[in-house]
Amino acid sequence: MIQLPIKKDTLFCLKTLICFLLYSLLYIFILKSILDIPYVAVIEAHKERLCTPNSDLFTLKNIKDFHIYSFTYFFMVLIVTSLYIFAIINYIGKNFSTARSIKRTILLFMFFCFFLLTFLQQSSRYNVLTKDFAVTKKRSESDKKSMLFKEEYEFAIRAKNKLSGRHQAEFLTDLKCDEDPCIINSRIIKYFLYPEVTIGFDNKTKKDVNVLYFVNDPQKYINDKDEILVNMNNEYILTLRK
Amino acid sequence: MALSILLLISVLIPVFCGYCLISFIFTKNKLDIVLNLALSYGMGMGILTIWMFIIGISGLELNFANTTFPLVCFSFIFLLIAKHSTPLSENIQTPKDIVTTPKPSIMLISFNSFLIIFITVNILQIFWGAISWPIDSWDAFATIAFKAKIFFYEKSIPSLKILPHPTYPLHTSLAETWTAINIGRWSDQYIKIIFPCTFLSFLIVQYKFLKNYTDTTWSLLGCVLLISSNLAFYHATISYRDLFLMYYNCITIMMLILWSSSKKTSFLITAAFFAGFASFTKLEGSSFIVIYIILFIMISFFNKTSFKENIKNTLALLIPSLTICLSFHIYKFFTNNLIDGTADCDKTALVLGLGQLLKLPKVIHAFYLNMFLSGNWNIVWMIACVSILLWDYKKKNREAFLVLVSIFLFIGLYSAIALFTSNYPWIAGDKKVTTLSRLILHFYPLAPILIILINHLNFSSDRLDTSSINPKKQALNK
Repeated sequence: MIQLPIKKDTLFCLKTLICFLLYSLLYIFILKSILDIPYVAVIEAHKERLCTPNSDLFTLKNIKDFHIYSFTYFFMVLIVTSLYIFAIINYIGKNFSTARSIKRTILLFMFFCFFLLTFLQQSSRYNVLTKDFAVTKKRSESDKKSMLFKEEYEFAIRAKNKLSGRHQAEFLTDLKCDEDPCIINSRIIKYFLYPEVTIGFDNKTKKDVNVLYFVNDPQKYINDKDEILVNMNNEYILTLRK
Repeated sequence: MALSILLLISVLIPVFCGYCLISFIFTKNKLDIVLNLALSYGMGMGILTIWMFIIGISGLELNFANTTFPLVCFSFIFLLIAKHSTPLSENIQTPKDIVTTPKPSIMLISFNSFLIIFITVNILQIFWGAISWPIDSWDAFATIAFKAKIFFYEKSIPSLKILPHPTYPLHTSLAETWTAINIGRWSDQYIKIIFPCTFLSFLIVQYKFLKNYTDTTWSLLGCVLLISSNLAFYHATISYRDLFLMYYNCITIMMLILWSSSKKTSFLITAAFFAGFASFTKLEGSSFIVIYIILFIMISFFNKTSFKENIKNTLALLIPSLTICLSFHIYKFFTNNLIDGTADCDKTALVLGLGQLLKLPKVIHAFYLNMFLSGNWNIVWMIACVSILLWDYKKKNREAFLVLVSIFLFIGLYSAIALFTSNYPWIAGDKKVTTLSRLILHFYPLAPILIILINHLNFSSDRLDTSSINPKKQALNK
């Protein structure tokens, strides 16, 4: 009898790797059949969906009304339940070593599911990284902020350039500040105007500045003596009260 | 180049201060150097921000000299005391001392290498993501970075009343201020260096914790499970407080479990400090102390300690944690800042009534949708559930049991907060999308830890039962 020069552990690892590859192919094949899309499209669909950066919730969009994790769970529940029942039968029959092997098989299968999704997720993360890198390449911090926050940042920079020393300001708007876009944009403006212009708290400097943000009738708030320091399309106005 | 050095210094100073204090706490017992350094970062940042808070409210200027020199001097004193004292025991006893592990095969080494490469690539991505983008998130503009900017430019902590969300603890904001003080200017990009550093520190602590009960492969797998969470990965690159709360909270749990195994009070004291820092990070951190006390009582019951030992341990847990926790709340009380604001903004308003329990199904449904069907956590929570089903309950696995209890306690706590406070809309109501994920993040690392602790024994059932160090048990097992 020919003995293979492979250790038991190595054989186990090889078998595990082959099983994982087979599972991955089966997963993609089943999805391709159900969704009726090419193999590459299955992978691309995962890459687009598995990493959608958001500070509050990474949403997982369906692929043609098909939820990726739901499918994986269905697959897992189907196979895990079958194996679990088989394990219980063996336990009842006092075949403990077989029951233990089945348990390990279940756990291995779970990790197969995890690793496949993680690989696909990693390529999704890589997509996000390459897009971010392309966007941020050779841009200064100021350029990036300008790109992200557009008019709000531009307004803040122009305002800071026109003012000397520190001031306090009144923030005036006709938009509802507990709704978009004012709820976030007002905060961006306050953040970038600080420290030259403080809105919302007393820093012991003169309160002699008005920030008019999307005010329908700006003239209502501008006196004859006031100096208009910044005016961006009558939507972003900075005035100095005199 | 100069900026890189300044950023490095901003990290090294808290690590040094933390190292001195950790060395002092572990005077009688030597701690693994890598674990020591990883814990030092968290300890140092915690002590640093509390010190900055004290300086800020006492009227002293928040600058490099006032922040650093007294802290470094005090830390040095602790280090000298620690180095002069002779340790009673050389090393914290670990199961590895008892179980001889076979030499790993080439395939296993390859697999471990693959895991290490995966972890390294993601860590590099996190660092790049953190310092390449300026802050661009809601909470950063509204509160965290805005407060940090105010502290930096005003060089003090003004009355909390004038700040947005005045009741919120200040750890993260002060940590960002510290970075700005070190680099000498306000930078919306580089102040975020603290987040990937925190994540890296946590990863190392988790790895070392799991290594204490399992082996290299399983510990690395635990790290991969943690990194596979999109939300944890992303929060390591943005200016939010939730990562810090996750860090302090989960390390407190890990330290309590290590105390349970080793019975060394040093771990309990470290847990107490981290529990205090958690309370200074977010308001929820104060309520976590109740969970830590429950775990403490359970562990004391398991360990069957004497009455005198119980009193000593209770003081070791409560004095550091409650001192830090209550200090900030007492300060808010005396400066009339206990209530956040009006209507929806007051996160601390209670809504009591049995009718609130009718909302429980909605709360559970919200948790289910988030944990299993969102893109936040990969399929880690499902794997945790299946692992619990396959748990061999005959094998005593106290550590896994404590982690499981912790997870249920956190879910219970947040469910109670959703039901009986004005936070229901943010957790399970119309606004659930904005908060629930971050709440789960606070205890998410317990899921990978649970998976590893349960499954390691399932896969290595032929070895000795290495859970919970017990000399008598080891002698019996031998």
